Amino acid sequence: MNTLSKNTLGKKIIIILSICQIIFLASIVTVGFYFFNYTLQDQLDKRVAAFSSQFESSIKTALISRDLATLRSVGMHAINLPDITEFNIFLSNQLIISEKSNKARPKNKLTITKNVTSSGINLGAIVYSMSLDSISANKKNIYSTLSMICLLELIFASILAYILGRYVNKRSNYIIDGMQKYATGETDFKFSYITDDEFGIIASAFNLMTSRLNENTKRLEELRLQNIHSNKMAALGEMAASIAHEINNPLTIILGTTSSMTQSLPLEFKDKEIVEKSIVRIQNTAKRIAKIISALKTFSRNAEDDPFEDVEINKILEDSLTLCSERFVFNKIDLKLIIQTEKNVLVHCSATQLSQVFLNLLSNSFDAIEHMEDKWVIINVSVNKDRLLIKFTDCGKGIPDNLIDKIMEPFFTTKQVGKGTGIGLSISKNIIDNHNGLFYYEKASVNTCFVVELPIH
Amino acid sequence: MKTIFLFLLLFHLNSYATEQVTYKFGIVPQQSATILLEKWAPLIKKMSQDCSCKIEFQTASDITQFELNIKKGEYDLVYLNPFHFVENQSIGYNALVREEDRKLVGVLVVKKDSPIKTLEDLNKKQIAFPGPTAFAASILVTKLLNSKKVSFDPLYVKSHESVYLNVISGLTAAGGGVNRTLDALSDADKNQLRVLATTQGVTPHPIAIHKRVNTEIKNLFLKTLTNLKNSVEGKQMLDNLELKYLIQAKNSDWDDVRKIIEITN
Repeated sequence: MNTLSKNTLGKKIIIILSICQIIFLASIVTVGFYFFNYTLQDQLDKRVAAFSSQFESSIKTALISRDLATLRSVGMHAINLPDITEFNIFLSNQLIISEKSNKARPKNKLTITKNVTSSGINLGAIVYSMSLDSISANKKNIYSTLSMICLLELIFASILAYILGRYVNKRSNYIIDGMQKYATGETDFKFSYITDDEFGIIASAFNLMTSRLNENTKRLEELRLQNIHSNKMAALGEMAASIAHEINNPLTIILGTTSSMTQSLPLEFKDKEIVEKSIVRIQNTAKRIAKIISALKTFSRNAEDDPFEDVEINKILEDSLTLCSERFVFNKIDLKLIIQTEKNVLVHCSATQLSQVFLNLLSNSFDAIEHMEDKWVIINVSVNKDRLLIKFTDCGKGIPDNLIDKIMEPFFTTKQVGKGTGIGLSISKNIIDNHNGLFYYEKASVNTCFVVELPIH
Repeated sequence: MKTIFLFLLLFHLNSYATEQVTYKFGIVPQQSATILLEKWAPLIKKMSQDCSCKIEFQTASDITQFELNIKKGEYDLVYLNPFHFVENQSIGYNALVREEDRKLVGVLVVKKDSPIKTLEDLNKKQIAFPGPTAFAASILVTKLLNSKKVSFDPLYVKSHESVYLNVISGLTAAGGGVNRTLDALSDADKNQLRVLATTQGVTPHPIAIHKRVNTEIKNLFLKTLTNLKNSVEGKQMLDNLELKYLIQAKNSDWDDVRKIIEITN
């Protein structure tokens, strides 16, 4: 991933920087060459002009007076000047002074002819040659130096561009790799290396985004399951209501009939006592059926929108136990309700929602201890100042420390696949929170113990 | 480079004994100023040292200007041609020294391969002279040509060296000079010239001194100049100037010149 073989951002940076560098250097070289050429040419022109004017006046006077000694002196002086290789003076068209330098023959030279006139009359001319070798050498040196600087600069800039490209590539690949991990299902992935540049900002933003996304996804799943649970409870409620309606009439007939039967029994009936006991048992059973159906109708429904009412906590607990006590008895689990309050305590609540919490806790205990020996569950109700404490303790050996913090999280379960959804405790905690209470696992207990704390009304 | 050196040397000479009186030593412009300075600088330096005074080299752009300067009495010491000396004695110049056993001889030169063999061949030709008042080179040579009734076109080219170069270049048929300046030419130039005729010898150039110079300094100058022959260094300086030994001179030494001028006039 870190190679620059792909058309990556790093590669683009290298190419763009290199192109910019080449354009920049080409501009500098072009301007530099133009400037140096212009400067050298300007210097040459000025030198020629200065040289010509230096001798023109004395040569003019000497030409007029045919002062050849002065002309020769000028010539000897001129030929000793740097870069002057030949110096000739013409009187009209006749060469009268010719001085040649002993210097090496120049490879490049400039021959200049300067006519000497006075009052419009042509007196003669100065013809001299100037070596351009030193200028050419200077020019070559400047070009070489400039080219070398440009080359070094290009190499240096290319290395920098490559390093920068590699860096950008590495950082971008780190981000891309992380995103791909998340995209392929590693939803708990977080960027651990956060730099203080834009890549760091992207990584931080990604971490925040995935964190919120994960939370939302979990919340959505929770809501979905809650919705399913609510729908299930609503359907169950409707069914329970329907069953209750269907069963209540026969139960009424049974109760009415058995009552008539008791009254109709003749006094001298030999097994009157036995029959009366049987009738009472039938009546009790019918009442129990009616009670179960009533409780089922009450608890098996969506109670999210129920208004809070002042309800006796003992009644809620007894109703809850009615629904599950048979199951506990059948499995030989000793279920005890110990009320340690002096009077019946009123709680401002939704009785249905609290029943769901209690039944959930009892169901969890049942699942946990079902295969144990000497199975028991104790529900202890007490008051601590203005708080009502309801402790659900079973004979389990408690929850391992490393799982305690997770048990309240949605979808966490230690039950077998298909047996638990992992949202029971989470929903219970939400319900108790909505009642301004506390719901927690008591670590200090030797056995498994969950506590529900509710404010007393 | 040589010129720069000489000017630096002159600067050194000028700065020497800055508290002392400065004397101007004028040299007749027979050659270019650069060459004159190069030749005369060692002697002037020695005179400055020996006499503990400051001596300044001076010349003029041409012989005409030089003559004007003489007439103004600008120079304290002056090396000048006999004609100028005689003509300007009234200004206040007196002879100090002259060359011993030497006569100033005018020479008429032509190009070595010139077809001109006699003075008569120069009839109607152009002849170069340093200036109209150059005594031996112009006046004596003209006198010689006039004695042969040769008609010619004179061209004044400011210096003896220019005369010779005009002849070498073929710009003039002949030129008038003096034996001393002809001898001073380089061999390369001298070998291109041929002496066609010479004039009678006269007392050579004097070094004259203005009467305003006090006697003590005058005597010091005289002593230095006449003693040059007594040292190797002094002889070298004289050789360099193409001069023979210098001896004390008196104004009457140039009576021969006065006589010629009188006859010419």
